[in-house]
Amino acid sequence: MDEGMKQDLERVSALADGALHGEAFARAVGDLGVREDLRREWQVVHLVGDVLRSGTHAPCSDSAAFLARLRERLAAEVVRPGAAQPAPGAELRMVRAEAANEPVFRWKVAAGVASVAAAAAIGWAWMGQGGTAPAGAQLARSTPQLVVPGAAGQPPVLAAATQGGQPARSRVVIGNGAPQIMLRDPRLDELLQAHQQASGASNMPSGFLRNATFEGPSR
Amino acid sequence: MTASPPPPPENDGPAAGRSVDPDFQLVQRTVAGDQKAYELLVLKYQRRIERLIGRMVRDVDLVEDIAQETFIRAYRALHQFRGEAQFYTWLYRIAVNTAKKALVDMKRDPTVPEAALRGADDDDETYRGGNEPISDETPDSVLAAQEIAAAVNAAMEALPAELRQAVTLREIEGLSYEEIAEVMNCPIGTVRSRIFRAREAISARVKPLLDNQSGKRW
Amino acid sequence: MPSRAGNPPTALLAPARPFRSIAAALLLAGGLGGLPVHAQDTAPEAASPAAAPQDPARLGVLDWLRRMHQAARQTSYVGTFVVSAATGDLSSARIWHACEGDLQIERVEALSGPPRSTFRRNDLVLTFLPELGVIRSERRDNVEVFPNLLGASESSIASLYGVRLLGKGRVAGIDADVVQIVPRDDLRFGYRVWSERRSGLVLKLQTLDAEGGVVEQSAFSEVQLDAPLQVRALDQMMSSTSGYRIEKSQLRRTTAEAEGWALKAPVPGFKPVSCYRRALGSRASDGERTVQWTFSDGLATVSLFIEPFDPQQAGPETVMQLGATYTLTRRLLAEDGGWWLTAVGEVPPRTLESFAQALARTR
Repeated sequence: MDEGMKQDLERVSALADGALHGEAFARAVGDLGVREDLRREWQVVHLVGDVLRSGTHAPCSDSAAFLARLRERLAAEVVRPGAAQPAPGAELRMVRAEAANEPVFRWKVAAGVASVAAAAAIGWAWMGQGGTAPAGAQLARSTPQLVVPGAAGQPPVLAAATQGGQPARSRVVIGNGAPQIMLRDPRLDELLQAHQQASGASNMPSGFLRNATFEGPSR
Repeated sequence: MTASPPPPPENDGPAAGRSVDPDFQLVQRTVAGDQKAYELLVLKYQRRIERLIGRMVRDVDLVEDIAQETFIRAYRALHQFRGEAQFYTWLYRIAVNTAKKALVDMKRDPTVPEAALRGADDDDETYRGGNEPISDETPDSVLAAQEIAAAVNAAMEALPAELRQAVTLREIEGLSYEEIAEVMNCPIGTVRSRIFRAREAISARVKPLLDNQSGKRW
Repeated sequence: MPSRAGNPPTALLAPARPFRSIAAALLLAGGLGGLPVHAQDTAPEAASPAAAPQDPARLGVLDWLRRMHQAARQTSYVGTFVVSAATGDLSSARIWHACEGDLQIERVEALSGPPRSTFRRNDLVLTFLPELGVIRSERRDNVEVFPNLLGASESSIASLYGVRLLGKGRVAGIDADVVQIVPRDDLRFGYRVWSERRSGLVLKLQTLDAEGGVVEQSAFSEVQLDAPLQVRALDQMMSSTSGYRIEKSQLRRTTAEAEGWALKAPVPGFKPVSCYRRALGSRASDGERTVQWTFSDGLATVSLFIEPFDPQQAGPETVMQLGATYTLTRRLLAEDGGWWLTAVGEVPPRTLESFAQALARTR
């Protein structure tokens, strides 16, 4: 593949992520309009994204034919001028994590992103344990907390408990200073939903709305 | 993007490298008069919209018709879209509306065969499962779809870790380039390059399968 | 129906039934439909501040909370609601709430994330997921509603939280009283509430940590109060389930005692509210192997999820945060085997730690 073509494909990838602006953006849209090979690339990029997010692939009708048919009808339409003012933040609003289903989560783990550093709390922020910075992704206690039943009539006894102390109140600072984050976990989402379901009755009035919109259970 | 000297760097000042909502960019451009931008949105979402409609309507030609209608209606209403919702969420709603309307119209039309409808009257809680193939899905095409999904997964597994991480954060977690740059502790340009290289590697495995399907549904 | 400029009119009364599909846990403020009627409820409600606005400076924390709960029951509204943490928006949705007598009905459409629609009619919640062709159905059990809030004149809430009127504010162009709810210890968060001047409806809520930092904010970005919504229209939308497969939540009420769990010492302020056995996650087909034991101090809740330890499933022991919600995971060992605890709550992490340390097996 020659260098020019490679750059063209690279620009399709950037366009798909909203990373082209101004002139470059306009030029790219124009180029895709006239080049079928670049349109194909555009489709494949999004096909791949769909498979990564859903874990499956679904066929669709022939796109070239679909688009050709649509074009005819669109030609008859008049585009009206846009909304007077876009909603604040519209441009920067990124699509957040979609269906956090099992096949998708597999990729997060396999990609070693079960724990990564980020400034934005897109997912759960991992605060570590006992105030000490975790050395790596895996953080297992050497001795699990022991709970043993007490003698009959006696309160249960906590035996040989090894406590890590109070968890850090502020974000754990590691390496480059950014907190660790754990990305969306479908299991956790489900528990969160179950928690919200059970807590509804006694929550703060606006807590309900918060829970109602919360993206926790994103399936 | 013609075979000429490389274009000047995208020097748009503070915006350099940042990524924004691509759908919103394309919507704005469409509304400013560039229909080509809308076609890119159509190509992007055709598959998902048809898949969605396919859950409600069995006949594959009808699915396509309703999908066409969806994109037309969205185009007409585009000037009302202010970006307070995600574009797909907004488009999705139009698709569901359009499909429901079509179903209602069809039920009134005595010439429409029952088989074209899909559970429209089904109040039974034991609905026959959500993954039934639609009418003209042959075992071959189902297999082909599975192969494509498998190829994507195989390609992901074969990727170097930093490429896999970059594309995962972008496609699955929906992080922007800047956020990924923070996560991966690298420059934004590197993020962009890694995502591209990951996509290229995955495409390389997928494209041969698609070429086999050209002209057919894929 | 009048609609705010710039927004497409919501077609609640149109023959077509537009809706997106969103999966959002839907909770109504305590005090909404489905509550058992206690004899002592009527007296406080009749005297409720919502009926005749009193001097805000003289209301105690319980009065404020009652007022807010009352308003949530009695006001119809449509609005856009945004939940955000310090690091950015977490989610946003469009919400319709209609009421007619004792009937409460609500519809939530997410504006971010996967398309999903949630409907609530009193205690029945349906979540439509069109992309999967599934409706999740569950009943919110309101039997354990925090009784102190509605019944008693003395309330343990007042012993846990104080209130301070900060002044006047505006949210989405609507006048509000700004009230600070101050925790009396560090086991719970504080809140700053913008309460609509006339009715008390909560328009904005900030959850505050001990330093007064905002860990999470939930607010209407725009809202229309006393919107002419029809319960019937929302009801119809909720009933159009054709083409969907309905899944009911697999859960069963139980008691902690029956399940063999107890707290060695109570965590101050938190009372047990409910206990369920649930089938969750990829092991859902194995049946209800997870116990969910939920506590509340009246404002904040904590759920302890306990399941048999599965080495393949368990991850690292962690404490995690998402907005005001913290999660703690820990492995527990008892004589009858290993267990895995996931504690979730809108409380500081030290509170979850207290729960984790207090949890004990009784057999």
